[in-house]
Amino acid sequence: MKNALADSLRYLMTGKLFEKITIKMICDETGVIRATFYNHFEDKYDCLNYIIQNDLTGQGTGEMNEKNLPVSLMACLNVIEKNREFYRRAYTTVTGQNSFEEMLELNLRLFVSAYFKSHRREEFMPQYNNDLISMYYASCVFCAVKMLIFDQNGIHTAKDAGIMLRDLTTHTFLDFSKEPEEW
Amino acid sequence: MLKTLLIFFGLSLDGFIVMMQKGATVRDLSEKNKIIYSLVYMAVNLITLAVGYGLAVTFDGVLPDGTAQIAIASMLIMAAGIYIAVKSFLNRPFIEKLDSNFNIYTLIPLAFFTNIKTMIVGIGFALLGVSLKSVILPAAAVTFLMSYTALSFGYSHGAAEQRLIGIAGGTLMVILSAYTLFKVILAAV
Repeated sequence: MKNALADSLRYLMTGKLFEKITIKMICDETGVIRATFYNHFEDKYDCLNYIIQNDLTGQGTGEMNEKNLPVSLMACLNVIEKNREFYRRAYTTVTGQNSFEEMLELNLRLFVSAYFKSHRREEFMPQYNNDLISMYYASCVFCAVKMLIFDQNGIHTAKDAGIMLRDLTTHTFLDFSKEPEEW
Repeated sequence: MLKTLLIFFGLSLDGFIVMMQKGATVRDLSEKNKIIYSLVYMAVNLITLAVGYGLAVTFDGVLPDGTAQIAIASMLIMAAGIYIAVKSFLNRPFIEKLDSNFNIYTLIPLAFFTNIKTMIVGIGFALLGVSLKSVILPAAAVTFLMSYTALSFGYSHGAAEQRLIGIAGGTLMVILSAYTLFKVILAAV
């Protein structure tokens, strides 16, 4: 039922501004009553957040591990590419206090954090906690996702975004610097 | 009497918005609950109306008589109407978010807060020389019906067109009070 309601919201967002969409519209599209909606979600923002969560994690290959991380990320990027129009619309129309950008960034951080919780090499640079490195690498993923959504900087497809992520996360700042010895 | 009722109707549109929002944000709303909530809202509304009326009567000797009283009453009702209309115009879009704590005990303070304007209108009615006895029953009927309708509408359709409803209610109050004030000024001139 949650997926049905989320799909209805996704569909409605292709034709209407998010702020104009009401709970009634979502319920009518799904064919349920208001009480059913409120059994699953607090409000339409909660429903939108569920769409993002589902897209980021629901399309993965299961439990995240270092063998599956690239697969999980690519699956996530493929879903975003497939729903690019929805993401573009959500990005530009859901702004302000509960903005889509904030929701997406937060969910990406949770996505990365979940990986590091179970697959962090504890002995490597322990002075940096999981929250900090999750925040750092999630912002990299967020950058790639945003470029994919808006087809910017040559990132046209999920594959392009995946290659960019691989290249930037497997190389350091110094690799790109002319004067690495300054550090 | 008709003018009094219309002023009250305009005022009740503000309460209509509040109850419509509540109807839109509760998970379940049975007929029994709709009636109870409407009765509670109506009761609070009548209490605040009576308090306002009582305040005006208490300060009867302080305020100037006759035309001045009517003018003050009209301006008070106009101010309440302007407040309602402007508040509705400036209000941010309402987010339908589940209120799982809504019950009679949360409704009572909400109703009192919403009905501060009713108190002001009660003062206005007293100054206009409207008998409280003549206005109590119609006020009760209007408030109950509006609350019940608002809850039902909010529950089935959501909290729609709030801005329009609020502006309409406030404008109605402004027009009617302005008309009374205009008549008073004309008579004085």
